[in-house]
Amino acid sequence: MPPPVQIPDYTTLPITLPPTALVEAATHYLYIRPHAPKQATPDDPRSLFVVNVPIDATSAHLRALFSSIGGGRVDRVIFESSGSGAAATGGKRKRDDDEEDGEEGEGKGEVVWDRKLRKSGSSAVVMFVDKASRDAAIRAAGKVSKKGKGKKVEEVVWGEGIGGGLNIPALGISRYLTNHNLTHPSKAHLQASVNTFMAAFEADEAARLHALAKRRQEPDEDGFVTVVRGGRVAPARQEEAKVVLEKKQAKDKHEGFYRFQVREERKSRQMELLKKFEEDKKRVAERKNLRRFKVSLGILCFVQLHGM
Amino acid sequence: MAPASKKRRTETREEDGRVRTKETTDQLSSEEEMEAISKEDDAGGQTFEAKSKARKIPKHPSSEQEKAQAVSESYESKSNVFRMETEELLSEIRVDYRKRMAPAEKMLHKLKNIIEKIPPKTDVTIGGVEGEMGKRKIHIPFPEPRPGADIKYKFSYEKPTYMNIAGSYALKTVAKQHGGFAIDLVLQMPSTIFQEKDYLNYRYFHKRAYYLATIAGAIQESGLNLQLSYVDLHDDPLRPIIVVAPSGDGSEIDFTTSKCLIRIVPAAPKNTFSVSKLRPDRNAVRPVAEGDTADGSLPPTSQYNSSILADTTYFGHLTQLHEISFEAKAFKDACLLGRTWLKQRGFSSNINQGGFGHAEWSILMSLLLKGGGSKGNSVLAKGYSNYQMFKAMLQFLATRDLIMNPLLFGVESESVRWPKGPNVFDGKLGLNILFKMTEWGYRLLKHEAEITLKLLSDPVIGHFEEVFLHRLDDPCYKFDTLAYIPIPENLNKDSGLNPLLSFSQKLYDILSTGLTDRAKLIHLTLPSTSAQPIRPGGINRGLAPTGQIIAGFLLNAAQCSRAVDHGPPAGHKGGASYRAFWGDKAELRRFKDGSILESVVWVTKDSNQSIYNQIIQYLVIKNFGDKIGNYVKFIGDEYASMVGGGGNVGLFQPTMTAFEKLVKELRSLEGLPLAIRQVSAAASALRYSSVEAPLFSSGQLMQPADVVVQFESSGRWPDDLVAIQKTKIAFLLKMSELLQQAGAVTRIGLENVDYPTMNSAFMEVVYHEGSTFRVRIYHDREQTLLERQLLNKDLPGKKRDEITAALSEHRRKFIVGPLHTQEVQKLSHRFPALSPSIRLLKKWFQTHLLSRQVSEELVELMAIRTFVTTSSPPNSVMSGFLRTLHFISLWDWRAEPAIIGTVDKNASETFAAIRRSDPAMNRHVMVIPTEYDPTGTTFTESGPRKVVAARITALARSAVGASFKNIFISSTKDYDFVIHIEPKYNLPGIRSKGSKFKNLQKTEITSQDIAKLGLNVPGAFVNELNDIYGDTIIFFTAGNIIAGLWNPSSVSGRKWKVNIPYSTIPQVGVNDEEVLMLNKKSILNEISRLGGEILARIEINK
Repeated sequence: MPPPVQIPDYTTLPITLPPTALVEAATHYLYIRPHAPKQATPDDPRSLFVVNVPIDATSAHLRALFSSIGGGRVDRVIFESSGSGAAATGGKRKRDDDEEDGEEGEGKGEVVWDRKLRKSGSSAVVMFVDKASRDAAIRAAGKVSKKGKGKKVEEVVWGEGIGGGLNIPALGISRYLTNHNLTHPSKAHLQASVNTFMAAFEADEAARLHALAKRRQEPDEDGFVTVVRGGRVAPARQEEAKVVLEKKQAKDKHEGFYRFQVREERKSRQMELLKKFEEDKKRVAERKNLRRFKVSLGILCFVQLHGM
Repeated sequence: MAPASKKRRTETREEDGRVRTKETTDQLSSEEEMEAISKEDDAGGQTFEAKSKARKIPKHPSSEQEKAQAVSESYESKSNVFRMETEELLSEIRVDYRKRMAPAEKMLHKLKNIIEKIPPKTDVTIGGVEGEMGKRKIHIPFPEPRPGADIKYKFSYEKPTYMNIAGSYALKTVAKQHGGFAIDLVLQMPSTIFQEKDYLNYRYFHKRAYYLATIAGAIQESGLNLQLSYVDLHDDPLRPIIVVAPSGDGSEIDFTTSKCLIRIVPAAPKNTFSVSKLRPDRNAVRPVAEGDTADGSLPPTSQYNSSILADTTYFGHLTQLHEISFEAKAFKDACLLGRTWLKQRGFSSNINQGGFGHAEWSILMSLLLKGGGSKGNSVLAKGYSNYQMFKAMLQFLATRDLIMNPLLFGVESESVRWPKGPNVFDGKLGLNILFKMTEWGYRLLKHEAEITLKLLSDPVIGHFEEVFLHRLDDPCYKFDTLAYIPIPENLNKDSGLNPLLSFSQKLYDILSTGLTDRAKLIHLTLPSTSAQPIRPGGINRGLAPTGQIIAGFLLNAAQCSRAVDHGPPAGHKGGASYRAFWGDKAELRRFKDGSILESVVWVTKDSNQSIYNQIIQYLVIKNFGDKIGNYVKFIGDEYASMVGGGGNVGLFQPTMTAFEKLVKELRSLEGLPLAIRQVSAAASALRYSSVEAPLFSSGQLMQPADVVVQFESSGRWPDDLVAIQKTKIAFLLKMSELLQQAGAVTRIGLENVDYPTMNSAFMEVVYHEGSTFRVRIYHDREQTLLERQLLNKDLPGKKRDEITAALSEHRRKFIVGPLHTQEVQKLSHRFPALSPSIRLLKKWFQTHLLSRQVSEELVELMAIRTFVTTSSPPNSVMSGFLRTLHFISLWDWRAEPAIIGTVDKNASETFAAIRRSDPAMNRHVMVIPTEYDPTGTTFTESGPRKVVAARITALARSAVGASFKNIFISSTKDYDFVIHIEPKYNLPGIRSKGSKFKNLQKTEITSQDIAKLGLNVPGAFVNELNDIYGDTIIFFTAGNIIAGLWNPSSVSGRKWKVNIPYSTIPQVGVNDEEVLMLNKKSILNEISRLGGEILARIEINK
């Protein structure tokens, strides 16, 4: 049975993943529809929402894909955010502007992968130059997916038609060797990056302290001075304060001083024991239900015992 | 009614000795009597029940408080749970006599009628007897030596004077068990058919055999459809009995549903023969030539004498047990517990299975209830509860050495000596109750009692299952090493009544002398004798049962690999016997301290055989010849040789030395802003437990071993997580600069790049001989900062997950990891077999592609549990490995944690809390609390998941009882697809062998090697796949294989949704609805493209 052309709101776009040295070619399905986020943006009319992008997708790949089926020119591609070089696990998905692969994230530290991968089944927003280009792309996709029904349309092969000028990092062993080298940066480079960070951090810290000091000294409009941490004495650590408080509380208690306290304590202890007894009884009963008290006398019997 | 019938019965017993042929009709039939007893028992049972309840909780507590008090009292004595479990066990194994046993009792009636109708025969000659039975086609089970044709005494048959049920069935202490049980129908032969001197020269046994054959013939000819056979009672060849098995045809008399056998046991009346003449030190088998001479000069025939006397004791013992069970209410339950305990450990009354079964247990217990103490007081008190009685009994078995210090009842003289083996002498009967026990059987029993006693006195864990529920009789799990020794075909018949037994005794003596303190315990398991058909032409009785003896050894780990044994000094009078024992092996040697001693030296190198096995083989060849010695099969060494380097801890020495060097260099660094407080190891290579020895060939770098450095505390650290990580890098850079100056090669590596709160960098230190280390800095403030962030309630979910992960990572890497390493190091020194057992177990997990799911530490903890929590730690690789597998197969990780060592008392509460917070077990599946990790989840955070844990259990179950070869065979057929990695991209450390040619092996470490240090292509690849495909595929890896299973919940199609986390194919479903199916082909294509030239092959199974 041929796959459906439409599923609610989405057009399917079958593409062929080329054969590799080990496995034959496979058909991969993209699901596309006009981009319609909850919070509309001016770019929406020229954006296309693509679900289930292949894991090795790059902007170049998608650009080539849409030009080969006869869609319009792609302006840029925004992939679903993948936190790591590979892909991150996580609840809320952010959009990650990924015009150029290998771009450095803002202050996120070192880059250790030369090419980002997408999670299986993830989505992307493809922004065309204008609305007409986008609509052309959707129409073209519909044609491709109807190819089984008489009309001759050429197979769309993933990764074909990418311009030679773009240098997309290779997968396979070179990817892992590059990663290994990137995770072992030169010491000078590392020293420099640490120095930069520390300088920035110290500046921030100094600015923060300065601001605090200022607030300590200047009364606000009501004429009050805000009490904030810092000052001449180092701030008390929360944990230490807690320990002191606990000590004080322990000191205030007079256990076993009055008779009624002793009596009550004994009573509560007994109640606890009673509770434990009941719990134990319950536990034994539970285990009995699991048929744990059958003396295991052989493999057969044992299997039956654990209900496996 | 009850007291009356009791009186009547005792009366009957008293008159047993006299002939009461005429009164049999007046007697209560055995069935009726049993009925009476059973009613009595029921009543007794109820009152006991009521009383025990009353003791625990008053029936009508006047107030809640009283009830609580009663409970708190019950808690004072051990664990209440254990007691409740015991009650459950008892109710489970008790047999419902009336319902289940009706068909069997009907059968007993029938048999009784048949036997009563047998006509008497008097004074038939041996010729007449054989002729008669030959005609009836009935085999007479004469024991060896068979009566000659010229014997003068005559055979007779008369109706039994008395017939009744004896044994545990009569006592109602039968337990449900696998092979069913037996009802003993004991027939008392009239004393008129015997003569006073029949105790001599097997005459009694020959007459008894004829008597038995007559009964067998009568039953056979009665036309009842039954399966009859002769069996040696308790493997005693002198005392055959008839075993009646149900036909299974479903007819009226079929008693298959009772699940039991009926044994017809002929008994001799008391006082038929003089007890004094059958004392253990008397002779009753005269040499043929000399006739009846005085017995003083002849060797005593203790076994023979005991066999005759044992035939007179059935009813006496029954009375004794009945009486005691009225006096001590818990007696029967304690018997049932004892029975279960013995059965699970493979003990039974049969000589070849230890000779200590349920019968001996109950008789010994009844004796101990009456006496046995040092001042004539009783060892057990009648008021004990069943558990107390059971424990006290074990205490007695464990502490009293009955061989050195026999227990005598009712005899004054010390002359009642028993040649070998334990002695509990009942003077009233003139019988050593334990006469069937061999020395080794007794030693094993004592050992088992000691083990169980230690388990019972464990203050934290109940161990109920180990004590009663687990079956522990497989020799592979009991002993450290095994040797299968073939039994010679023609055993020397003159060497005693039971040639097999005397052969094994000799073997035992030789082995225990030869192995000295290398073995703590030696045990021999003999093949059991088989049943014989009652028709002639069956098995030829003359031949000893062929087969093999299984010799099991408990080793002394500290001594068993000693290469030299010292004997007496030169010229000492013991020298000759030493030389005689060791033969050519003994030689005079001069030792460092100047002494010249006889000594025996064993090969340690270039031998696959362990030293103790060399000794065993040598001794067997020397004493029993090549024919036997060369066919001894050893089990145990193959486990040790499977581990690289034979499990020698010395292989880790170079790495440990390198580590010490690193510590010294780090400590002597000058110019660091802070002083180093501690350097600790946190890697399996530094705790003797990596699968391969880390430095196994020159010219190769080992996998970097983790090391944790902690500085003196200082207030100058920043109070911000990210800034701390950067500060650490600055420290590492400084350290590497200083180390570089000292001559080591260092590199800085980054990790957790996408997780700014986790440790971000490490320093790799490489030494020229090939050892490499990965140094990380531990700052104790990090934990506080992370915990404080978690307290913030406004933290977004994703961030919270990240912080939680960072916290557990921090604890694992910096806090628990080093402690764990230290503990394993310590234990490896205490238990020499621990390190190789861990390494073999890791290999097993690797073989089954589980090493990705199961962290190294988890495997180590599983093995450690076997060594620490059992009271008899394994002393060989085999026992360490197999017992751990056995534990894994039995571990119900859903319901209980595997506690190691002395943890907090509330470990079970912590566990309950873990399960409550995550009942579906998505996070923590296996929980192993230890002293340094009380929650027990640090090393199971990242797996195994529930599916994998179930697979581990299944694999362990199939490994239990499998042969060594099969344990390490794994098939990849079960996986959906298997990816093979090109071997050249494999981890260098796992490569099995170096270059084929020795001269081509490289010996230098190049800078390319260092550049590739820590590169793990297959690992990085699988990690990426795991990130990309998440839950859709479960990956299993080992070496160059990556196997994958599609998650069943992903395979079944689902409706359209935007966020389906895997690649799909749209399809039209049943109701014209679109269904999205998992696109397996496209996923495999993607994987192949990602891997590129790393992958050699992809097999798709399903």
